[in-house]
Amino acid sequence: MLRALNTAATGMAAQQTRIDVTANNMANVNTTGFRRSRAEFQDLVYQTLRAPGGSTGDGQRLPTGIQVGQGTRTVSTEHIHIQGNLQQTGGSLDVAVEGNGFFQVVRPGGDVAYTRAGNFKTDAEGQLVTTDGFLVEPAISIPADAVSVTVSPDGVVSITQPGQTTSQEVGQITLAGFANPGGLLALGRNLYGATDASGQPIVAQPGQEGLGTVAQGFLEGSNVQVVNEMIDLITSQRAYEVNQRVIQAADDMLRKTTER
Amino acid sequence: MSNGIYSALSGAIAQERNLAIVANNVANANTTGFRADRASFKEVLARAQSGTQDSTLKYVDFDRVAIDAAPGSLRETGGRLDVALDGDGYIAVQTADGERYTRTGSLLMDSQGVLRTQGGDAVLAEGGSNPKPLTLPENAADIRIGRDGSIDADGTPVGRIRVVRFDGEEPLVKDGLTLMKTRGGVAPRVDDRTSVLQGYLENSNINAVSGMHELITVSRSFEAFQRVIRAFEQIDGRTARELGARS
Repeated sequence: MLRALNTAATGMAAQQTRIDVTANNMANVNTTGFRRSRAEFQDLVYQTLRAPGGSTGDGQRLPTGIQVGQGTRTVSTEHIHIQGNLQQTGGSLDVAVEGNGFFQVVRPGGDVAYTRAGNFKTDAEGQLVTTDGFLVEPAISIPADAVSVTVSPDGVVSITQPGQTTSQEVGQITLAGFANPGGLLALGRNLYGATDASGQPIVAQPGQEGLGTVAQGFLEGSNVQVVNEMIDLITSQRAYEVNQRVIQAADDMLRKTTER
Repeated sequence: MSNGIYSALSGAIAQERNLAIVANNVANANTTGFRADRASFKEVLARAQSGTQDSTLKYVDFDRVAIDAAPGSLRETGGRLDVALDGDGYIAVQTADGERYTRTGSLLMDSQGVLRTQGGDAVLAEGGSNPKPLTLPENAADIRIGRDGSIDADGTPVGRIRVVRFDGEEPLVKDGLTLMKTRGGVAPRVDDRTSVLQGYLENSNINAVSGMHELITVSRSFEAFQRVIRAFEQIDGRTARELGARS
């Protein structure tokens, strides 16, 4: 009896995790460069009450045994790195990646983090920064008197200054790619950190190493699909309810057994 | 004393054990590639014991727990390393304990480019008697998986996922972590009938409705056995009262 109770509890915990993940996805449906997560589950190790292939005592062998499972567990909440929709903004410092690469930014501690959110700004010194004020790596400085800024698909940033007709190159945006982007650690603020699971970043100019090109005047929207999240929410909720009913059923059995 | 009460008791105990199996099915309603367990019961004759008046007394006991082979529904994810199997094959993976088989196709590539399951087991490539793990180029931008399980990375073939099937009835037993292992003496065969679908995952073959149905069946059966036990108890009580009053 306790087995069923514990098993149902693992099921409820799993559905709870799935609803938590769905809630975070839904909350970030309009977050630039957001990547949805997906909870994955596995069944737990089985308790073998009678091993398959055992003898039945009269010279026969059991074709199948009796194995009772003990529930489920969350194995991963993987980020799904599927391209989000590109939204045209017209902003000259709005840049979207069309492909698998990430922009690199320097966090206050000095370590490099990775992001898909290309809604850049300039700080007081004209340095290219994220909306949180973190410097873009490699550093690009845009003079205050620049009339226009152009970012080419291969990441070259050029400006024109007043009274000049030719543009001047001021920097190069590079992208970082990972063998296993699903293994990146989400740091919040649209940032990801490299881990042993993601592998070392492969840094290159846009358009090389399969990292994709950049598009100026566009931002990458969240890759959350509201309809899919709703379906996940409904199935998790129903599964949670059924697990709850298992607990009730087990409790009912115990009560009926003990009552007179 | 009526001996029938023991038959009813064995039935109630069997249903209580069955609830543990149903609970596990329901707990895995959202586990990708999970397959439900179904318990079946058998009648056992009580061993002839000295002092037993009724040698035809029957008990019920677990006969076996079989894996429900019905395929789960497919859901589209668009993930480039998500695969679902359309057919009765299994993906072969390498674990510390040897080759294991799974229907869970939510794969990922590790930092060395080795294709792995979410649990970290390497997916094996088809090829001869000693299959090796499948390795993809680390910086592949475009990965295409064909219906036969062959993988192209940026247009270059890199290998084929080892998809196998088994002959005979119930060749596999569960090993936990959505893995299955073969029963002794069953050899896997390369499966050319099962299609590999990229961008899809197979749902658990148990859902809220079927789980609820199983659950209601178990609780109602238990309740019925409980009533039978109570009825025997009342008969015994009345017998004792009425026969006792006459003597």
